[in-house]
Amino acid sequence: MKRFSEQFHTKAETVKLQSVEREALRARVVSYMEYHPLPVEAQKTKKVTAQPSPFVEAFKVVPVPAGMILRWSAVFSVLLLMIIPVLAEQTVPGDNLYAVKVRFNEEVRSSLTLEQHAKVEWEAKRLNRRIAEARQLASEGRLTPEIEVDVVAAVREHTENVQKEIDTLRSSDADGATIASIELNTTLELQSDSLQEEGKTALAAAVSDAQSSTNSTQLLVDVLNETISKHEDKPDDDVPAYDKIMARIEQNTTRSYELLNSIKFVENDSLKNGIDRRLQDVSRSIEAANALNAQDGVAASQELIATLERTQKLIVFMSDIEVNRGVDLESVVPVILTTEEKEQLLAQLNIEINQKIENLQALYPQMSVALAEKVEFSVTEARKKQEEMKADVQKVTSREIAQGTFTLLDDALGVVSASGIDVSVVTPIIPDIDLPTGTSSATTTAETETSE
Amino acid sequence: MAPVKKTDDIGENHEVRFLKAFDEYNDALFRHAYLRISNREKAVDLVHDTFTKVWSYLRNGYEIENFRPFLYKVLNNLIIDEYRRKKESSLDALLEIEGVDEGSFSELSESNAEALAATLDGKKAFELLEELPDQFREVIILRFVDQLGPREIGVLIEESENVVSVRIHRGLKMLRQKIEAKESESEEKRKNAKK
Repeated sequence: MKRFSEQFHTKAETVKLQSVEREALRARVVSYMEYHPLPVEAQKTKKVTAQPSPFVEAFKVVPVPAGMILRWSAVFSVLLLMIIPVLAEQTVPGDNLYAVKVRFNEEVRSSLTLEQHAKVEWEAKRLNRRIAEARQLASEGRLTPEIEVDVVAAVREHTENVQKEIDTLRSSDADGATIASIELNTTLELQSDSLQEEGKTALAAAVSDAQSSTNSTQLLVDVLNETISKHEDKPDDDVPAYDKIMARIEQNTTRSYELLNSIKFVENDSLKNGIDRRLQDVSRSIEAANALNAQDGVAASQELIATLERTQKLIVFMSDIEVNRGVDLESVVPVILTTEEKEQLLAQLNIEINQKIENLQALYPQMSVALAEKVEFSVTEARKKQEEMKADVQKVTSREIAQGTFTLLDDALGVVSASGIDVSVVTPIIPDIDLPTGTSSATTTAETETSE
Repeated sequence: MAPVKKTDDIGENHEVRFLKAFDEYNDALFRHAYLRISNREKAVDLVHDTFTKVWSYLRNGYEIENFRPFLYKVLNNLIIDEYRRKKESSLDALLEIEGVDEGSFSELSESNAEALAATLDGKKAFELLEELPDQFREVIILRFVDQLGPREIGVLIEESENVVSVRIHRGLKMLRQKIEAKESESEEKRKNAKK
């Protein structure tokens, strides 16, 4: 190959321009170049022309870093649309991002909620959020009168909105509207009660410590009560259909269990057990209502409505568990005793009442006739109540009834003591029995009783 | 093959670089043109036209980093134009041949071309170059006179490297056949003369 290539190339090399030809060609090309000179800006290489000319300074093109602007605007958008709303969700009035929570997050969600039931629920939730915020601020001592005025305005606005949505719903689903209305009222009552209770505690704290400023939530309580009374003034609609209430209770119970699961890891056992006990009560109430439905439909519906209210209260309580930490669960949703518990309780009460009566009767010999008559009257009354309770175990519903009987007998003892008779010799009375409260379940009650 | 020279002194004036390229490549371009069209005057004109075209290109504000391939490209286009003007009738035939160039495996191999070339007499082959169809003459000249690689040739004539290799191989084969034909012809003449 090399040989061929070399030979071939050597032979080819013989073909070339004669120097005359080359000179002539060069002259032609050069003259062409002279007749067709390069334009001024092309005379020099790009490197040179790249230098800015002072004459074009006024029209200088400033390079825009489009890529960088795009990147930063993307980062900024992410920040604006994702991170800030999440941060804003945790704010309370007075915080910087609070407006984002109320005017952006919640408004966006409002506009995305299309279904009428969901609208009512969402507006009710917004109302709840405002009250919860106020309560949180009050508990932290940050609720200034200015903020309270704002909160009150917001509460009024949301209440009106809920009412409007409920009215709209009424045209398509009257039962649904009534149920929503019941739920709203329950919520308002609960919030109002909690606020009042907290107000009392705060007032007590303020009395004991003159320095602390009172964060009165009275204005808010007044607004809530006003709304509640407005609702009560309205002629009550027909009782909603049994099935609809039942369906709603089912929903609420499911939601309650979800909430219970979500708070399980942060709350103590006694509160969890307390809530669990209330949910068991709810399922028992449903069974009772089902049994009753065959005989008396209206009564069964009333029973269900009461159950619905209880589930609603539980949901509100658990939704703002942080705010409700100081609230006694028993005051929100009292325990409903089972028949066995009631019987147990009755037996316990009878023992105590009998003991008290025996104590009084032991003192008869020392009493004047008039005093003995008075005491005998009290004893008779107590016996009557005992009989009443024995006759219908369902009447043993709360601590108050038991306490009423005790008070009656204790008063009698007081009168005896006042007459100068020494009551210290009487057998000491066993302490008050432990009724199931918000923090103990049915089983623990039974255990306490047996241990006593 | 000689390394491709770059006239890339960016700081230099366009005119200086252009004239330097003229001095460097005028002979090679002339040789190429002459071997392709076998007309001395015409070849000089084509080289002239090549340079004036490139100059116009520079005047339009373009920058040429490497003059050599650019000059060859312009010259090649001018030669094709010249062919079209000269032999319009044969153009169809020329295009027809283009279509069949897939080539066998042996034709695609460069070492095969070398083996084939090794059997040829360079001087004789060069003399018979004129008898080859331009399609083959073009690649043989680019390969063995201008000493471009098959890939560079492919870029220049806008064909794949494979097509270039096949054409070189076939071109060399044709040259061998022609050499052999010529040899046997002169052999016969000698025999006849003896008689």
